Amino acid sequence: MAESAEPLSGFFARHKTAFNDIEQLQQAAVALHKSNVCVWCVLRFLGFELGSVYQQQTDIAAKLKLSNTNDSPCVACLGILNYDLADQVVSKYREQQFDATDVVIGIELPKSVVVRHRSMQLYCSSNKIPVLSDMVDIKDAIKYMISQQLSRQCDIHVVGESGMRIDLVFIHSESSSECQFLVKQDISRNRRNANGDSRTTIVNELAACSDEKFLASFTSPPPAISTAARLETIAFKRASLFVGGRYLKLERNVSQTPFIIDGRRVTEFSVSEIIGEPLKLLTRCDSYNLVGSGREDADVRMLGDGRPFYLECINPRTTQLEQQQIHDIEHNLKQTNSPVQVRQLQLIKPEDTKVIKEGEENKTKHYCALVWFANQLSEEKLEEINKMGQKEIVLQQKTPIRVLHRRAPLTRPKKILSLKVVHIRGRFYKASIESEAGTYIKEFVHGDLGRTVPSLAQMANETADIFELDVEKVSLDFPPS
Amino acid sequence: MDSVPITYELGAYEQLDRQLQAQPELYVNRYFAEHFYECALAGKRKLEQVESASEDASNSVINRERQYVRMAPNKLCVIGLASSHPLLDAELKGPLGEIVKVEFADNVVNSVIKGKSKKQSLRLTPDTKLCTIHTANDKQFIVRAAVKGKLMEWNQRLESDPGLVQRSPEQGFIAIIKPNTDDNSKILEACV
Repeated sequence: MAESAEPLSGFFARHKTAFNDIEQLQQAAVALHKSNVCVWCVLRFLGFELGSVYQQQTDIAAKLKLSNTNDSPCVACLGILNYDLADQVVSKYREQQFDATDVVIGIELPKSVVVRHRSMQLYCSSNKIPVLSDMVDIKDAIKYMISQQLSRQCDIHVVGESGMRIDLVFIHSESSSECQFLVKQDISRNRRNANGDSRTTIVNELAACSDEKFLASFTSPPPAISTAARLETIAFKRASLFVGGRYLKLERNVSQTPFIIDGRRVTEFSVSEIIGEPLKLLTRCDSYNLVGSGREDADVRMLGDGRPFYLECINPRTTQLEQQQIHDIEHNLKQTNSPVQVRQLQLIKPEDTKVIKEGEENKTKHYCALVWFANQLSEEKLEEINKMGQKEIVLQQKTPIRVLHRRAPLTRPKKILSLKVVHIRGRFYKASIESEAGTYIKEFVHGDLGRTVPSLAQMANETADIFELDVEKVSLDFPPS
Repeated sequence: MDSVPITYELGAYEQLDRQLQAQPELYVNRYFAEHFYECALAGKRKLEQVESASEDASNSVINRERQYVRMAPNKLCVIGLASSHPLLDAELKGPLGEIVKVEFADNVVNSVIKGKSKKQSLRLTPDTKLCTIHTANDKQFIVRAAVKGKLMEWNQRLESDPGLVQRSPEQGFIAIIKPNTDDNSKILEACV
């Protein structure tokens, strides 16, 4: 970049610094630069605010007559402050093609930076260089240069809080033990009291450390280094996108989530994959998680207007979606006669998901079952059962044997709110049941070896079994619109 | 909202219907895989088994005292008396008298079974005595655990209703055990 014609004095007049005298400013700049401080940091310590000044570095370096022979990395910022950093971060960000409009940047610097800053402060004070208390912080400088690039190339601005996060971690092994002198090595007492070398501990110890004590263990200006700090990690994280709706399961042998034992799939399909895969393609997320308001067994269908659920799309690249695109997924599942279909599929807010788990515990469910009795029931017996079924029946259900391996052994009282049994033919009957959430219906029918009392078998005084079960209705007001 | 009434295709169940009609209690085979354990062998394991093998047919049936080990898909085993057990066999049970008492072992009655992981549950080996069954004619039969694992449940109903064992062998089960391993061959090591 060509040196601008403006003399240093004009430049000095236009920008606020820590100085009143231009000669003092010039002397300070040279002294700092000679101590292995880069131009970025020189400008910071001189008190320049973040702005165009930092983009005209070569120009200013020339005006301040800073020699170009400095090859070793800056002792203050460990070589972190350079424009390649912004290029690196921004190009990586563009690779992912997130469609975010704002972003928050998190930065982790090597711990030695804090110690070295104190050392710089002491150097400045001993050389009568005034240092502003609100001088530009290294992290703010990094955010500044990255946000300049981002808004130019990606039309996105850096803010304090956002669903989109860029996390940067810098490592500098060469100076990693520089903070150790501040840490108390208290090995004599038990381990819990020993102070770690965490960032907060170091900051606190530095504040408590007097200048004399500091200078006894650490040089001022900071010691030279041969390697620059390295940008170890650039991580991108986006707040999850939530899609809600109701799902129907029209065929049997579909589990809610992938069911794998010993590496083999037990059921070919799962509700979460049938709904999740198209959404994964649409949102370009890393993975997804389906949460339903309750579950039905793999061999049980979910009919009626479906079971409320939400699907969390983790780290989505695309979140700006049209309702039409969501609707297309619903339409497509219908057109292809998919065993799992959805209704009212829509984007929802994270707060809307609370209802799903709350409803699981206190909403009633309606079922329809194919029941078999060892002997056809007499008219009277059938009438008797249906009469009992008009009133509430309270069951004492011991934890069913089929889940006893993973649930606590308890006897849970559960209500059958209504029961209606209709004869189909021979020993086959159709039972319509409305029950409290958490009632095991299969066990209510056959009695689970007498561990669910009463059972339909007991009421009919015949061995009974259930051959098919369907959930007809899950009463829960969801999704929101 | 369209709600078409649900209809069931019964054709697929005709065969099952016929099989179960003859022996309804076999419905448990839809939920459990049945294996067998011979209780009488446990006591004789230290003695020469050759002797018992050479005894005549009727004797060896009495000696066997078969128990069923019904394993659910989650590996939990329900232990009870098999239909060939002297107490259930049509010919053999008469002289024994009906069951008057099912006396569970002290360590079974005092066992603690609670919590999701059931950590404090009583540990059992196949030979562990679960209970002693007393008959009206003063005969006694021991029921053993048959598998190595933790006790999940013992059938308290039998304390007040000992006749349940003979009336309904599947509701009159003795105990439910959680094996230590998922490996069927290891679980059923003591079984026949």
